[in-house]
Order: sequence, then C-alpha cells, then structure tokens
Amino acid sequence: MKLSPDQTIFWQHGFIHIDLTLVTTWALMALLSVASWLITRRLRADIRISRWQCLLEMLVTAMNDQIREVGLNRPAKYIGFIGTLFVFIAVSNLCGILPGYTPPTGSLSTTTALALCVFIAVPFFGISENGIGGYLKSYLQPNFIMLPINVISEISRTLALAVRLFGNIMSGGLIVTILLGLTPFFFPVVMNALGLLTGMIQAYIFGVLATVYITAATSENDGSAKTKESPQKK
Amino acid sequence: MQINWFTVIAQMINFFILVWLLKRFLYKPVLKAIDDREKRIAAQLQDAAAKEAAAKQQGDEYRLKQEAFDRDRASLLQKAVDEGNAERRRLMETARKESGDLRAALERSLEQEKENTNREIVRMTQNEVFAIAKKTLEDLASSGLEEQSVRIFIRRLRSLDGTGKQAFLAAFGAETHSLTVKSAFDLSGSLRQEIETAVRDLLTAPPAIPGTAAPAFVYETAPQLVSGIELAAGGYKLGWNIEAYLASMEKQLKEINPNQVTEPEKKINGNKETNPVNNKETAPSNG
Repeated sequence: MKLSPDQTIFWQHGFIHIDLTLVTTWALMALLSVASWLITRRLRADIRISRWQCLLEMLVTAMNDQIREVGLNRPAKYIGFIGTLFVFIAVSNLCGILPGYTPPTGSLSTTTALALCVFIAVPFFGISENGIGGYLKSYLQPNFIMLPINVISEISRTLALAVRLFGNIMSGGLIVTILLGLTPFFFPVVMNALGLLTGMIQAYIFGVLATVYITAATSENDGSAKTKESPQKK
Repeated sequence: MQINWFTVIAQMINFFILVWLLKRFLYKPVLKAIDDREKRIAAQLQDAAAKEAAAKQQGDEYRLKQEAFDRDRASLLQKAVDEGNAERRRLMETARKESGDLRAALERSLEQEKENTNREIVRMTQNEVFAIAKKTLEDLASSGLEEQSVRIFIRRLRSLDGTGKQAFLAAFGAETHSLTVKSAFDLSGSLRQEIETAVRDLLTAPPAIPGTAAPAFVYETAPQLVSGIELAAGGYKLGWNIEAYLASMEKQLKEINPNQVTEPEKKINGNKETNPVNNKETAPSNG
C-alpha cells in the first residue's frame, strides 16, 4: 500500500525523477492557470459582471479581507504568496473526491516544500519591510536570552506546518482507503465528505498561519502576532 | 514515509511558478478590475454629489427667485388693488358728483317748471278772472249803473282830503281852467249839473284859487272805462271805475309774485291788446 504519491515514479534518471506528486502538481498548476486566464481575459469594470468573474472577485476579496484582518495592512503585496498557498492546497484537497486522484498535499515532500516556502517567505517579507537589522532584531525579542527559543520556534513551526498538513491529508486518504475495504458503500462517502471539509480547513489553517508568521516578521511588535498561532492549531 | 528532496525542491519551484502564474492571471486582473470599478463608482458618486450640489444650488436659486417673484407679484397685486380702489373711489365720487349735479339740475328744472306752471296758472287764472269780471261788468253796464257810478264819483270828489285837494287845485290852476270829464256813456244833463256843482264847491272851498270859480267842462265818452267816470285837469286825473279796481288788484298780485311778468307772458299780453280791460294809470279814488 502506497501511503504517498511520491512512491509512484513514472520516470527516473539518477537523482532526478518524475513521480505522481509532480505530475499531479503540474496538472493542478495548468488547471488553475488556464482557468484563471479564461476567466480574467474578459474582465469588466462595469457594474454588471459575469458569474465567474463575480466568483473570482469574491474569492480574491475574501482573501484580501482575511489577510487584512490578521494584521497585514497592504494585502495586495502578500496575496500572491498567501493566496496561492490557500488556492493550491484547497484545490489539491478538493480534487480528492475524484476517483483515482491522490492529492499532492498527501506527500510529505510537498507539504515540506510548502513549509519551506513559508520558511523562506517570512524572512523575505520581514527584511523587505523592516530591513535585515529590524528582522534579525525580532529574534532578540523580548530579550537576547530568547534567541535560541525564537530560532527553535522558527524551525519547529515550519516542521509543524509540513507535518500538520501532510498528516491530515494523508490520514484522510488512508482512512477512506481502509474503509473502502471494510464497508465499501456508506462510510467511504461520509469520510470523503469529511475529507473535503478537512481539506478546506487545512488550506485555511495553512494560509492563516503563513499570514500570521509573515505578520509577526513584518510587525515591529511581533510578540502579539506570534501568540495567535496556538489557538488556531488543530 | 520519507522526504524526497528532489520532489521538495521541484515542488518549491512549482509553487513559486504557480505564484507567478496566479499573480499574472488571477490576482492582478481581478484586483485591477475591482479597483477600476471602485474608482468608477467613486467617480460616479463624486459626479452625482457634484450634480446634487449643483442641483441644490440651482434649487436654492430658483427658490430665491420664486420668493422674489412671489414678493413682486404680491406687491404688484397690492398696488393694482390699491390703484383699482382709488380709481373706483374717484369714479364713484365723480359719478356721485355728476349724479348730484344732474339731480340738482333736474330739481332746479322741475322747480322752474313748477314755478312756470304755477305762474302760467296764476296768469291764466288772473286773465280769465279779469276777462270774466270785465265782461260781466260790461254786460251789466247801463245808464242806471252809470248814474250810480257818477254819484259815487261825486261823493268821493267831495270827500277829498287836503293833500288830494291841493294836488287837484294845483293841476287845475296851472292849466287853462278846463276840465275834461270822460264816461262810458253819454251823461245826462242832471248828472252833468251835479258834477259841475261838486267841482265848483271843491274849487270855491277855502283855500280857493282865484279865477277858478267858473271852469269849462268838456264831456267825452270812453267805453273802455267800464261804467266809470274820469275827471282830467292838466296832468291830474281823478276818477272812479271798475277798471281801476282791476288794475289795483293786478298790481297787488304782481307785488306778491314779482317774477310773474315773463317774456312769454308779455308776449301773451301783447297778443291780447284787443282786451277791453285798460291798464290806464289812474289813481284809484280810494287811494
């Protein structure tokens, strides 16, 4: 039994290989890009707009508002990164209802990659906002004794991000697979629906946590922002 | 459950590519459309606010103009009403004055007409009375009546008072000592004798005038005297007849109503010159 799509390899040449995770990711990337292009190629600034444009505007506006609520006052700067995180994870998880589909977020490699992206993005946005000195100074808050704790916190939360998403998605898929063998009719449907809910929640959690980390890095007083992490963890 | 680091790196690259793709095809166009719409709506709202402000300003201007127009209209209306009332009062006053003048003229005319009618009635009555009386007396005139008239004349001659006697004597003495006796009928000899006796007695009575004891008497007949008799000596006349009474009565009526004799009346009188009544200026014997 393959627990991760990484184990399905289509082509390999030494270190380089193409597995199901990559293929699925590319397919999702193509789907998102083409769909976005199709919808946004005829955008109108009038009062009357198409349904798809309305849907996209609602989505983008909701993400903008969410980013602003968390604490970033210029959401247009961060929506490219945080919104893509949410959209990719959400679409990846929602497609789990398709038969034979294995979400790439069920791969620890993918979740690790996303967590590393957040790990890179936090200092990137922090330095772009406060400069490198201001960013590094945040590790000395509230005093220099906290420096090791802050470094460990930075690494552990990245690891937590990766493992949390992977664990939830992988376990959901695993449970459905197991239940298909035990009770093939009713419970897999319920668990699939539950998996959809879990997938959306995980996408939301991942996006919000990334926003919180970036907010903490870009804010002068990052102590209050970091405390928001704990109650939102599942 | 292992981490495939090639997959991790590839996924990271994939993710950043996806970030670029979605920014290029999703976020930027959508955000731009939203911004454009917000700007358009803001512009429309601003335009609407500007139009509302302009409309409000125009409304205020029109309201002010309307108020000014209402004030002017009320003022002009009041002025027109005042002028109308003044004109009405003036016309009423003029009409009242003209009416009063007309009424006064009409009243004067009516009064004049009434007076004229009254005068005409009086005059006609008077003329008729005179004519009837004269006609009656003429019809009644006879020698007997003549004789009676002579006797009354003689009695009055004898009873002349001092002033009348002196006037008679003065007139008689200044003339040719002749006396003219006029009567309606020819006088009989006895009556002539009585008259001459009475005249001589008057002339001889003191104070007598010398040379007047034998006056010459001339007898004439004058039918217009209406049973009367008249004694003329120079410019003095003494007589008695009914015409004298009638003339006296007419004179009294004229004294009562001085306007009696008008132009038409004179004309009427002129047309009646054939009337036998004679307005001779003869002093009635009764004074």
